[in-house]
Parts: sequence; structure tokens; C-alpha cells
Amino acid sequence: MGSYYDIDDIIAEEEPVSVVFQKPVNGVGIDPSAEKNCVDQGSKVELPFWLANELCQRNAVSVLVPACFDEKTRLEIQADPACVDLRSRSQYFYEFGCKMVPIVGDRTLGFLLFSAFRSRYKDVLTKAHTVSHVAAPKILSRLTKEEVNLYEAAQSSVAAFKKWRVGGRRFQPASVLGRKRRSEE
Amino acid sequence: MYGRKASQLVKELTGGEKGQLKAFNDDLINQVIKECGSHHVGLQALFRNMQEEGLDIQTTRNADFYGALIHHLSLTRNKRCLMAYMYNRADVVRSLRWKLGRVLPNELVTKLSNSEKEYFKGYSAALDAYMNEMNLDLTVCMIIVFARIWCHRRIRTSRLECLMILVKCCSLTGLPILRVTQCTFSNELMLNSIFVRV
Repeated sequence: MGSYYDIDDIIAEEEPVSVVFQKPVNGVGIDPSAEKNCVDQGSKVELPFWLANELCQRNAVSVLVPACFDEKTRLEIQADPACVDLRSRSQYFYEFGCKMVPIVGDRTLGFLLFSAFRSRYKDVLTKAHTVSHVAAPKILSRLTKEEVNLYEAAQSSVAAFKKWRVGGRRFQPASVLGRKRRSEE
Repeated sequence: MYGRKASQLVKELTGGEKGQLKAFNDDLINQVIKECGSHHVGLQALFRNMQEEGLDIQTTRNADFYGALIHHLSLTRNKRCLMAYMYNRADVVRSLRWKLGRVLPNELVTKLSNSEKEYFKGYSAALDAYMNEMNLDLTVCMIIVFARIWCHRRIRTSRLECLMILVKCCSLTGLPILRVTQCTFSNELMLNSIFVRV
């Protein structure tokens, strides 16, 4: 759970979620298909996560699995996790998924996130070490925000390691410290 | 959709390089505040409806209640976005003092709101007061080196000699000493912290 002021957390909660209203609602303009400012029971509306979550906890709506975790995505992840373009699904694929797990009925969602992250993690780190600058944008365009952070962290650590190996100013012992002590009399 | 404008405001913070400021978006903030106003009106109207029907707001769960709930949730969401916008900008404004010093370039000043300018001034003054009191310039990049030199009991190294060793260590490593804050001289000479410039 991010902090109250966390920008990424706020934006991740803006992801759309389709919900079905279990209760009628008056006086709100959230259903574009309704003529008046109200929502009928059983109507399907797309709400941002922050609203859907609270309403779901109060049993006012039931939540459908969002499009970014659909069957097609699952099959692609099973086939070759590293090549799936998760960024186009959702920039906050994992964060959003973790938030969805408690309110969505689908029990396989948590495992999907876990297995996707686990297999992509290794791939992201390897590529960060080996990929040339030319190929980097293509790879980055497939990664979610969290994976991009990971990629950049890996790259900067490689750069730091190379710098360290080439050398630079190192600490040297002062010559006076190398002298042997006089033995006790 | 409710809260859309507020999230646009927060998204503005993510664009561009980290630590860079965009112009303070007065216009969008006012739009968000206006949306908050309409939520407030909607909330009040629904509550009035319920009271006119003689229902208890605390326990009734009818269509009016859920409408009011949605307005309330939108209000708290908008509040969170506005707060996050101000908070994260304030973070950047504080870091400007450390990076650029007391006086900001003009093109940056135009990006700040009036309250942010005041905040910068206040923060700068507080930092200056502290540095004056401690007689230490904190804005130069420093690392703190913990050094410990063991001297043999019989050698009777003088304090000056110990300090000379230390200075030599530092000059060999190429880190000039800014000042030595605390020394305890005994058989075991211990220097708690030496500020060195890197």
C-alpha cells in the first residue's frame, strides 16, 4: 500500500474497472448511458478503481475482471512472459493487479501476477546488462513502470561497477600506518 | 468521470525529468475545486431528500445514500490528489534550495505559485539560520568519515602527531579536511567525525 501522497499509487488507482451495480443510485452522473442523473440496478458502468473498490466493499457493486487481465493476456504470459507487452495493458500492471485481488472473485489472478513478475524479473535484469542502446527503447516500451525502474536500477549498478573496475581514486593506507610497532619492552 | 481532472493534475507531476518543475497549474486546480463544490452541493441535496422523507441518514441504505456516498468518495479522492500535488511540489521546491542556493533563476520563479515562493523563502531562511548557528555550510557536498587511530601505550604519541597522521591520511586519499568536530585524546585517539569535501 502506497502512502497518501504517493503519485504512482494515486495514478494506479485511476485504472478503469467495469462494475455491475447491485443497488440503484440517485443523483450522480457516472453512467453515460443513463438519461437522468441516476444509475439503475444491474447496469454496467466503467468506474475508476478508487471508486469501484469502496463501493464493492459496501456491496453496492460487483466487480468484473478488468480487460488487462483477460484470457488473451494470460495465454500470452504462459507462452512467453518476457515478450508480452504489459505496458499497453496497464502501466501499473502489478500494482493494479495487487489492488484488484481482494475485490475480484478470480482466485487465479494473484498467481498470474506472481508468475509473470517472477519470470520477467530475470529477463529484465539480464537485458539491462547486455542490451545495446539501440535496442533499449524497444524493450522499454514493453515494460511496466515498476519494471522500468528495475531496468534502470540494474543499468546504473552496471555503470557503477564498471567505473569501480576501471579505478579512480581509491583509499590508500598512509605510509606511517604501515610501520611496525615497537615491541613492548 | 469524477476525479478525472484531479488525476490529470497528479499525472503532470510524473512527466519530464525527476526533480523538474512544471508551471503551477492554477487553472486545473480551480477546475478541481469547482468539481468539489458541485460534489458538495450534490451531497447536501441528497441528504436533504433523505431528511424530507424522514429517513435516518446513519442507517438507511437507499439510492440516495449510495449517491451521497459516491459524492463523498469523489471529494476525498479529489482532496488526496490536490494534497499530493502540493506535497510533491513542495518536495521539489525544498530540493531547489539545496541545488541552486538562495536565489532562483527567473524562469523557475515564474513556475512557482505565490505560496510556493513564500515557502521557498521561509525554508531558505530557516536553513540559513540553522547553518549560522552551527557555523557550518551544509550545502557543500560532504561525507562524514569515521576514523579511529590506535596508538601504542608506550609510544606516547602526542596529540599533534596523531592529528598529523590523520591529516596525512586524508591528503593521501585526496579528501581535504574541512573541520574536525570532536576529538577525544587518550591512549586511544578517537576522532568522531571529520568533515571532508568530496
